[in-house]
Amino acid sequence: MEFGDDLYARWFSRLELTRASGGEALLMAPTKFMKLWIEAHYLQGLRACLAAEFSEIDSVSIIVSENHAPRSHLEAPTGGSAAAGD
Amino acid sequence: MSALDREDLSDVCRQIYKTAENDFVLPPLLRDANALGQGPKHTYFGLTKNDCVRFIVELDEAYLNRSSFPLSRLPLKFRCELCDLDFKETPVQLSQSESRELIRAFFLGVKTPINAELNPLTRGIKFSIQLSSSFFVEFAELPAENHKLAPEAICRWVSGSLYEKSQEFFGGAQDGMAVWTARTTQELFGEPKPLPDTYWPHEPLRAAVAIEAAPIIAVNPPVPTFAATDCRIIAQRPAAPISVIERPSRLHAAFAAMLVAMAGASCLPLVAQTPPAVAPMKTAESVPAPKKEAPVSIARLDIETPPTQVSRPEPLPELAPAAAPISSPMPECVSPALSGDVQQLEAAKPSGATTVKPKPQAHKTVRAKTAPRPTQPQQANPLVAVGRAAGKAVSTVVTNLQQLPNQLSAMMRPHRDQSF
Repeated sequence: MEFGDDLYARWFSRLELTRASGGEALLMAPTKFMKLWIEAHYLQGLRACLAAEFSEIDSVSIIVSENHAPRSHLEAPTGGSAAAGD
Repeated sequence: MSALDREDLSDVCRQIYKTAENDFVLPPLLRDANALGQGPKHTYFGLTKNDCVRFIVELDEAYLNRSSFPLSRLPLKFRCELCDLDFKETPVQLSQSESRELIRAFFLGVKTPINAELNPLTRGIKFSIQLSSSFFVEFAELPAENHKLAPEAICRWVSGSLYEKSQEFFGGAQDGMAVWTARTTQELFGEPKPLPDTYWPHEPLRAAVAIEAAPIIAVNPPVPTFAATDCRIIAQRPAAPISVIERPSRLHAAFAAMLVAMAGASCLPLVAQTPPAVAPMKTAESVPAPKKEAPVSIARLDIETPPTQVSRPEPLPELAPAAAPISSPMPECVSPALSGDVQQLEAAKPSGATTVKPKPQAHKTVRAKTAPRPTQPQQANPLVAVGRAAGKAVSTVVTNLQQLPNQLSAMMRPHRDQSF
């Protein structure tokens, strides 16, 4: 399965690969909504793509960035929530 | 009627925007506080130059109690009052437009998490807005078949749903959609929240923006060197019809005309249009000159009307006075060589061609320059005549240029000023 450039720019360009070990890839999304949307619509395809590149990966998890809450530029980020992936 | 000027209103908006940033829309909904007759509300104060604005947001309990879920609008009430600093006088209600501007600032700044949750039954995504630490209002569910929507389309869809539930707080759909689109992109896609000056710029910046859009009045605005923003603004102005070229042109014309007057009448044909180099003397002689117009001077040809002492209309032959006016600069400027040259031309004319009486040399020179004359008889060899005329013209110019310093000093003497 392949994702086009447009789809990648919309949804996956802001994902960060946090860890890839033990057969699992851990991705970090900027907001809870993006995590939920990717999990609902693109998780299977994402797993297939990663497995094609890295044969040892067989599962993908998405967490939410700690500083996902919108803050003004002057204020340091504080706290946040994290959610485990599937 | 407005109770606040624009600067004060923007200042209060910035304060509310910043102060509400760490609050939910409503405080925790405590049953005990409600029993004490103190409804859950947030109160914000914004200082103006002379007064303060009290901005209150509270739960609309009446609507909440008689409505069933899901709510058709956000159960909120706002009060916007202008108070004196001692709170002794009766507060003045702000106008509707002022109140809406403050509400807009509040919604842009306050903490309003938009939560998304997967509906396990429909596989759609339910959206809710969090108004307090424990109070969520569901407002929409995005069907599962819309999974190909772009983030921008999702933002529009969510913003529209939020505006439907809060449209009474905004002045129009444009304002409301702008507010909720900004909040949706921040909450759903992690866009940073802008600084308050982005929405309500300070007065100098606003004035700069106004200058940028205003029509230009000053013809020659001073060049600003103190602020980069102003330089940018000046640079972006459309080109004004500044008549800068007139002054140097006029000066140039006057100077050129003065040089012409100094150099004598022979310089005029040298810049005639056809032929350009040597022929002017020949042209003046050979052209039948049926017109009664005076010859065109350099300044008229090149730039514009020169000063009066040069562009003075020259009289026609039959109307010309016997003697040139004393104020004319020409007699003093004519060189002996030029006068002699003109005498030759006069002598070559057929008798009776002109009724002008014999005049002194200088006067004849003036008439030779100005008056049309009949066609000269053909020379035996035109090239020889042309060469002779060219040599004389060049020598005349050289001679006149050598006399230029003396003539200029003579012009500067006080008793000569009247002639110019």
